[in-house]
Amino acid sequence: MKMKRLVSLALVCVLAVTLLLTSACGKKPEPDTSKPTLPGDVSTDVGGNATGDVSGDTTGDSTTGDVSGDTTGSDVSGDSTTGDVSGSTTGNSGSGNKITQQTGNNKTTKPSDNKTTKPSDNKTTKPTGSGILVDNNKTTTSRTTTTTTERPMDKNVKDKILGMFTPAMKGKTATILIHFEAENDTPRLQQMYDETGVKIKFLICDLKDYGTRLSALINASAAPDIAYMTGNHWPSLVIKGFMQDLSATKQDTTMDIFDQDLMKAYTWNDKQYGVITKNSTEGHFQVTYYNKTIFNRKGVTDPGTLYKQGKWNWDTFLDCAKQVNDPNNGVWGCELYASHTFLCTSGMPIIEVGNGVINNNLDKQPIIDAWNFVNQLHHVDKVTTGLAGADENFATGKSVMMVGMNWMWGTVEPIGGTTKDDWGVVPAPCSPDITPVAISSSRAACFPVGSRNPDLGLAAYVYWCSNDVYKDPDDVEDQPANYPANEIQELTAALWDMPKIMDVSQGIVEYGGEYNEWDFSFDVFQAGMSGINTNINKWKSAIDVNIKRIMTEFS
Amino acid sequence: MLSLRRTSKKVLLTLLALALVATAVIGTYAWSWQGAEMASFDAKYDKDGFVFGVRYSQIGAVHNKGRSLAGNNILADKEECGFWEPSVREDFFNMKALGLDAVTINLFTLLEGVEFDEAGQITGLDPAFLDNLKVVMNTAIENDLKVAVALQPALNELAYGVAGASKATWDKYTQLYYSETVRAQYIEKCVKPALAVLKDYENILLYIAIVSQPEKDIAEIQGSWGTTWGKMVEFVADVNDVCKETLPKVATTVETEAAYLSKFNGIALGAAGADLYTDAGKADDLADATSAFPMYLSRYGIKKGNSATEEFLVQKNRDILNSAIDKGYMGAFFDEWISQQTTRTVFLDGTLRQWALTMYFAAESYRDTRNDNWDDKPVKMLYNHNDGNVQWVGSALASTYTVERSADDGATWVAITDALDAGSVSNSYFLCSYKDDNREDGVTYRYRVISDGSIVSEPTN
Repeated sequence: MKMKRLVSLALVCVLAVTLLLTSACGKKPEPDTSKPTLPGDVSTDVGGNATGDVSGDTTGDSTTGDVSGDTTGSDVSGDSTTGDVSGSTTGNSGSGNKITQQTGNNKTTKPSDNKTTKPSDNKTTKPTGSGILVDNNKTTTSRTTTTTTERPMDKNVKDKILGMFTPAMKGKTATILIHFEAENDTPRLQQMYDETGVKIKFLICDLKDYGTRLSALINASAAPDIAYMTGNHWPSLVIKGFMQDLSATKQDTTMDIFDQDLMKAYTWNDKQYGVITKNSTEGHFQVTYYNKTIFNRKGVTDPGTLYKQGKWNWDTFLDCAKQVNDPNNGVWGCELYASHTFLCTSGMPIIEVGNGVINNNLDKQPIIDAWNFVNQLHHVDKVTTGLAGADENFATGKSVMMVGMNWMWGTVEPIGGTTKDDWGVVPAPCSPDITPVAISSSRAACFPVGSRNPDLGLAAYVYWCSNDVYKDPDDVEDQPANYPANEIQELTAALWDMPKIMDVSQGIVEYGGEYNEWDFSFDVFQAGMSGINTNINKWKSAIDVNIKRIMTEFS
Repeated sequence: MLSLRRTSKKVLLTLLALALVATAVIGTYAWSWQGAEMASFDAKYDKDGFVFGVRYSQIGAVHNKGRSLAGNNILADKEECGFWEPSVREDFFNMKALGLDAVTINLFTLLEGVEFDEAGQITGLDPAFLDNLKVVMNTAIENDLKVAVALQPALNELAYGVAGASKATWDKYTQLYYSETVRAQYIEKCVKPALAVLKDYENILLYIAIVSQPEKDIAEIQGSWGTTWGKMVEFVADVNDVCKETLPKVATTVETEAAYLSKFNGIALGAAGADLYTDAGKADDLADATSAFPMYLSRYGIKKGNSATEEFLVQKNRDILNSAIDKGYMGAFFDEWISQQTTRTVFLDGTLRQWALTMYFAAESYRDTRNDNWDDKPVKMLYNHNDGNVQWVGSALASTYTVERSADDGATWVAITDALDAGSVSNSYFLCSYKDDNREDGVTYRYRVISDGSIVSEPTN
């Protein structure tokens, strides 16, 4: 019996060992599809050099409360001033307002000149937004100016914004990639933390490195929750596969706190990619600044009046420029900060991004008409300085009007600061053949591929840029006396309500780094009437080449 | 009766023991015959997953001189050996810092080091070749890199207008493909000596590719000169036998375009390398592969070349890697690492380009994903030239860096900066740089970086 057991045991051992060893013999392994894959599934391209972008808050505040100090030379209308008024008031025209101490909260960045923006030239932007606040009735509220700011905010809007935050978000930090200065610990962000328990960490890089940095973050499995999209990078960042469409978030991006009109411009292949908050610091519009003092002195009907009368367009703009033009005394009628953006006042964008196509409109008649108009200003009617530094020219009185960007009114200098004259602002003039449009280059908040907390990111971003969530009394004292706070507030409300055209040309023009947006802008007005066709053809070709490169390189 | 039982018992026990021993021997032999081809590459793959590698064809070479481990006895402009050990040290250190598992080196490219007589018969191998090979292997050990060796006895670059190239030249010096006599000389005088060196480094050998890019020496493909596929397959089979005899535990492979891999299915290889240059951003499906062996990407990169934007290069290469992992390739070797060139390599204008750091993040996040623990700290220091220029692969997650240095070979460390804002030392793709201007002459410093005040990197050399 024992013997049998021994034999059986021996056989079992032999069998077991044989099976063990043969199973270890090599055979072609099956592909292991369960192996984890690399995160960040990206497929296409990154934007090239981008320069000239400016960013920051462009706001002005209305003030209420006691008025003190002198008011001189103001042309104010529409607002009533309540509270005690002391000090002398002189030179007042219009009705109602006796605004003495202008207040506002304007911290913006600006290009150092008409050329490329250098980040080192940018003033620190407080991401407080705290811009012109608009009430839903779109009427100017009664306000007096005091040293403190009490700006009415829309509670309904704020409630909706706060509703974007969930209890699960408390204690978390949203990461937002930006290409301008911003601080992680401002009073506005402290308020957000107090109200929601959420913080923001800004990831900051130079504009020219933006695409590379976004790519590097995605590849490093560290994609930010929100990344900006500006005209510089649209639609290339989408085509290159860096961005997710709005389905990445569970937040309701159809809420009326978002500007659906502008958001449509960030649509590609039937999908929307960007969120733009109404009445926020992200609304960048083309406007016309004008020197009220000079207009008054010359007895010329100013743009503000013409605008209110519904008569503000290219023709009346030119007429104003001619009437105030005085080059023998070193004063010109007008300046164009970005001639290429001005082309959109024809009612047609230079570049139109449709569904899966990018259209170059440079040879379309409305654009040609605008191109002709710009050259007429410069070379026929000779009402422009032709000098670099449009904003400084305006601020120092060399030009009486300047078509620039709305964020410029937030700079302490030159427009807000060194301009001693009274000034006003209206939309950029459009072709008389169209219903006026607001020309915009607004930034959108987008969701990078690999974004871990898109819902958190969007909530924090909206809070950060909305003018309906925060009071900022600290910056009031910075505003000079001639700051037209009420006018700016009214205009801002109007701009958000106007039909809009988005200028997204920069990203296409500068794709690949061969061309520069400012060279394009220069060529718009420098050609002279006889050189218009040549320059149009030159830039049409350049843009066509870049469109083809964008579309084919990563298709 | 009792003694008979005892005897039977003893006999049975003895038989049992013999059976066990025999089984063990047979099993071990079987395992070593079939399993050995897999032991190196597959073992690495099974243990650590996907193998991230790079090709290092110009081994420590000064550009435009000898590309490999010895001078070239065929091409006059490559007569001088360009091998330079400091370059190997720096390159291997940086490869490891960039998260790479393995490096492929080419032996006998353009038949460098091989000595010929007037008739083109192989007479020997430059002794410097073997010495330099040892330096390369020792440096790989110091830097914990696996090494893949491609024998690549090719004159294929003659097809690209190399000075002095002609069919006659090709015919004379590549008899190893089509002449049994010269093939035997190649094996005896070149392959076996190389294998004898490599045997001492068996534990870091990932695989041996018998040929790499053989299609460039095939007449029907080149049109002007070359051998036949039949001769090439014979050649591979003969050399493969020798490799397996000497290094049975190291996988042997061939590396060529995927379409040609099936030509080698009849040879007992362990793996097959597909060369892939594509702008489509994806690897071929293994289900469609005609090779009988486990596959890897022996070379990969974009096809577009220098006309591609940097962004295109980064994105498409990244997509190829993603795709290769998804589809079950064992590894991928980027083509290539040449310190002295600025195109189609990991360098751009002398600096590690974004693609190099993308490879790093790809490898690191892959490993951390497997371990369910993603963090890109501590950072990785890059090679220290002891000139005050300190570089490291940065973290996408770090907020600050503090640079420390040691003057006593790492015994003690002193901070030479405050906590620097990460953005102030990092470029757009996280390559970080700091200049130490307070150095004493004659002192050798080592450096390390502390991320966010507490996470300490490994030091530099």
